Amino acid sequence: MDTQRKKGMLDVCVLAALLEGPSYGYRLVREVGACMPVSESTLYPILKRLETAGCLDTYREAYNGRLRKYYRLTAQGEERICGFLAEWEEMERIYQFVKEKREGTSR
Amino acid sequence: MKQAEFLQKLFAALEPLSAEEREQIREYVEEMFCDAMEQGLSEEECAAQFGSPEQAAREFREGAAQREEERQNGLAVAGRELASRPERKEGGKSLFRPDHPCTALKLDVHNFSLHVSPWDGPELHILFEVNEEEDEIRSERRGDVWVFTCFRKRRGWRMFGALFGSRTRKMEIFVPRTFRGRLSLSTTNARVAMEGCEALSSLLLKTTNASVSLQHCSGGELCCRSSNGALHVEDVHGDTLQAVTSNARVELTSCVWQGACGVHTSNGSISASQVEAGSLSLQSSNARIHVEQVRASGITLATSNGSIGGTVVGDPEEYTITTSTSNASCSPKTRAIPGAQKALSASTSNGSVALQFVS
Repeated sequence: MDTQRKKGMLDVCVLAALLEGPSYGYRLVREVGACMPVSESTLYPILKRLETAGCLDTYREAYNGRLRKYYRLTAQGEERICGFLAEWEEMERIYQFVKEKREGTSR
Repeated sequence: MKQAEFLQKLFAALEPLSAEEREQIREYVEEMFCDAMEQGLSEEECAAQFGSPEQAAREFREGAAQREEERQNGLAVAGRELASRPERKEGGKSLFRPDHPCTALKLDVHNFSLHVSPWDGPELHILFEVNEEEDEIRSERRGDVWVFTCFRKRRGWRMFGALFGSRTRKMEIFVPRTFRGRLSLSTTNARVAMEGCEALSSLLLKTTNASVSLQHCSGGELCCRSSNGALHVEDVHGDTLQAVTSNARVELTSCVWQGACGVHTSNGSISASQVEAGSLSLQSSNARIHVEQVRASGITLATSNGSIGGTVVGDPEEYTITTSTSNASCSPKTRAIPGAQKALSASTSNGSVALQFVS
């Protein structure tokens, strides 16, 4: 897949993983990793980028005697997920059109 | 590799980043180690999940470089960084204005048609329908300049953007009648139209693939630019005009400039009617140039594969005349007048030169 496109997909996957509630780095890598390959070091820039864009915010909470950083979805982040799904539907229609045309001519 | 060794190698490769950035990465990496070890992984296994320290460092650096680039381009904007949020909405449109009065506006947007008009209020305003999902808006003050940019969010967000193409939208800019400052308005792929603004100290209207129209305005240094779009200037006066485009025509009507008026296009005709300037230079290629009652002490008309014709206001005895063409008639003929203060030059190829002096 195209690198830029992959990046965009990862962004949305991370946001989607936060739909159930705030999460932390280690868990996000596991969760998103189930869908797309992502490493600890690739997740970091994604989180930073999404935070800068206002799609998520962060807070700290005590856990096991340390302060763990949590990431939380914002309204803007939810909007982005909706945008992605809407765009995908648009894409799907085009896909169907192309596919039908191709099947029509190959017969 | 143990955590300490991993961190040491990683941070050796993160030298170019700021101390703040490195500190954030340290926290992130240490937390990952904590969480992973609490899940029962060994230090070595944790380190391995980052890949090699060098590879991890490269990803951290690339991420930082990309954010920095976006910041400099004014593309990445957090909502809270906005210097001026839209204040109120009028029929679905958001209204922006600077937080303090400014003497200049530098506007840089894409795929918006710009409509500039005067209004009776005290401040500059920008009005358009914001698309929350797609627009990256930045509005800030730099000195006395209000810098306003609106780009489309990019980088893997609208992943199939190239397939869908882009729509153009309308942006309205209201200039107070008392505004005497500078305006620099730049867009792409849509037309720019400005009407009725007076006494601007300087003005730039710029677009691509669409026309620029400037009517009933006055000011100091005026500049209209496009590419693949026509330029239309009517009832405008000021110090100078620079009008540059390509592959399209340029029309000037009823204009007066104290200084130079320079027009440049290619593959498009130029017409100038009732234009007065200190000096007038009209240049094109592969198209004709037509002048009607133009007046200037220096007139330069140059094209190729097109005729040059029309009328010049003045006494022919005051002008040194240089005319040339390759294969057609040429009138008036080239002649030098000793001590002449004024000059007329007209040159083309594959076309006639037919200019007349009128009073």
